[in-house]
Amino acid sequence: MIIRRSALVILMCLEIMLSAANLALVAFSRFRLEAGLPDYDGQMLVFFVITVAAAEVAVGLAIVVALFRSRRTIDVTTLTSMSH
Amino acid sequence: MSPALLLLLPLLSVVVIFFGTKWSGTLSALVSVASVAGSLGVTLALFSTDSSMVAMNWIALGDVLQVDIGLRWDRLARGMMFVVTLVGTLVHVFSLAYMREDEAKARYFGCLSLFMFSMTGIVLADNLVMMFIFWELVGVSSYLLIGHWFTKASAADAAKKAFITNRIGDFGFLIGILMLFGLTGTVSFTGLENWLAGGHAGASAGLLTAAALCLFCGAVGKSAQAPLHVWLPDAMEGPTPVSALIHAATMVAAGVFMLVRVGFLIEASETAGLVIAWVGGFTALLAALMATQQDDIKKILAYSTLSQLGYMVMVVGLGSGEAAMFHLYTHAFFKALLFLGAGAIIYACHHEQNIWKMGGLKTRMPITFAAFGIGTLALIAFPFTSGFFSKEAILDIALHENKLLFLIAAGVAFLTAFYMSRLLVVTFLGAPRSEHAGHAKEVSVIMFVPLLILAFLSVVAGYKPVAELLQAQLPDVHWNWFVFFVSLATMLAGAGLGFLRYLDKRSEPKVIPVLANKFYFDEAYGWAVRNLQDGLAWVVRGLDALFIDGLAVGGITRLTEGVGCLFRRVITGNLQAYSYLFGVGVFVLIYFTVFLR
Repeated sequence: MIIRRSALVILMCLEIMLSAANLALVAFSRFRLEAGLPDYDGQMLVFFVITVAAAEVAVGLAIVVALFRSRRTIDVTTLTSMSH
Repeated sequence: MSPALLLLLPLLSVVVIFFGTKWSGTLSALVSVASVAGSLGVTLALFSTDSSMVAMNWIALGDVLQVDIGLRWDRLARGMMFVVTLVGTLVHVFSLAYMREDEAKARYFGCLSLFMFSMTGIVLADNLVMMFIFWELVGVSSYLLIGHWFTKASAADAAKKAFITNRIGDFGFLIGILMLFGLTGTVSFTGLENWLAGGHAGASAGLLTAAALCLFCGAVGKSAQAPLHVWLPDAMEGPTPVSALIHAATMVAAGVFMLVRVGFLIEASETAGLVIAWVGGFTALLAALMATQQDDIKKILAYSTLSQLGYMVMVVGLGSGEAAMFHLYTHAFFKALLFLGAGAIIYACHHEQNIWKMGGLKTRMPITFAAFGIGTLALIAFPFTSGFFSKEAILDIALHENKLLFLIAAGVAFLTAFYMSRLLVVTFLGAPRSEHAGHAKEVSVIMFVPLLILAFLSVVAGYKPVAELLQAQLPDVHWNWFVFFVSLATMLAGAGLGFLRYLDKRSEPKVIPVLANKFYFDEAYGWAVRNLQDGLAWVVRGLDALFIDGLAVGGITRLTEGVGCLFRRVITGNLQAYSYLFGVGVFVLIYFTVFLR
């Protein structure tokens, strides 16, 4: 994610990171047995993460679109006006 | 009626003038005159009472320090108060005419009332702290009045000089008060007296001497003793009635009054007494020598005041406060008379002060001449005038206590007669030496009546019944024919020499540079300020620039700036760099929370 230059790809990388975290949560919940049952807390958290990630993607895509409209580029290495 | 009224009347006048009648000079003048006349009336009415009262407990720090606002109304205060209010009243009345056409009459009379208030405070104070406060107030009012014509550069400079010179003395006074407090735990005169009477003094005689000498520093500044005398001649830049009231009769005598108030301390320390006596004697001689070569009528009188104050300080040091107060009391009358006389002359000659441009005023201003002549006779101690009795007492005490100082005092008596006869001859006799002097006319009634009252007092004030009546301190001296003849011989020799030398001269026959230039005191001080003080200031400024500005204040700003520069490199604006740093931060946080529990 860090070495990518396109904002869109950075966003996609973020989504993959979240999915990886979700997968880890589900897997650990399956392995952590309490009285023969999995720990459902982990699986519950995954639903929250999916919901928040959906919202985040919506906002993030909107920002990327707005960025492209004003600057005609989404290459983050050229977007350094915050340093001035 | 209580002595507090004496303090309230002039204060009320100050308030009324500055907040009410400032727009009208005449009205302010009347308010001021009424207040001072009221003070005189109250003083006379309270002549037979004797009281001490504590008005309020001002500062109370447990058992450590008690400072009261209290009044002490004893014989010393009564005598001094009479002099202050009487001379004050006459000077106020004289000012009505002298300052008639002044633009800032309201301010002038307001300041005079402020002075009367402060002076009354010094006289009535029953402890050193309260006296010190009024002591400083007197300095302020003196500053305001010397600089009354502040648009004139010399007057503004003279006011500053007076104030700064006084501050040097007052610093010593303050240290002396603190030393006495540290030593005895009290600042009231009664407390100090009881402490001394309790026999505690033996163990700390050295400290006591130092404290007494520090207090004396205050008197050196206020009473213009050498080496802090330089401000008084310059103070003559003020209006002449001010010179008469403040710089001749009352304020400069406050130093002597203070020394007499703490006379018990000086008596307890032989060394302090000796130092004080010699400073006084030295000043008397120095000032009398300088007076012989001055050309400004007011400067001559100023140096004469210095010289007479030297007499008083000397005799305080020799252990006779009564003789000092007696001379203060007679001196106040004849010196105020001389100054007001000089004021009348200056007024008549259209503000000409150089005696070589006067002359021939005897026939033109006969009343002033008569009054001035009486003042001169009293000053040179002509037999059976008031000055004669007080100077006789001083010489008598000096003869008993210290032969060398007696010689100096006799020499000063000779010089006094010499320069006063010079002044009289040059100003009043001969032919007019300028147009203004030729057109001079006798001054108005309102001006010469105060002169006549003072002239009357200058003659009679020295007699015992009169002095008793007016609550003056009377020294316990016996008639001494030797002293009488010495005093008479010096007086006649000095006056005779002055008459012969200056009769019908048109200018100074022989100028002695060292005397005409006042022993180069001002030049020496100017040199010291330019080189020593400015050098010290340069060093201090360097240290300030190096340590305070360079390291403390400047160091902190440079440190902040440097750290800021360092962190500014982090703000690249690059999203990837931010997220990288963010990741590092997360790892650091995890490290701290998980592994460093």
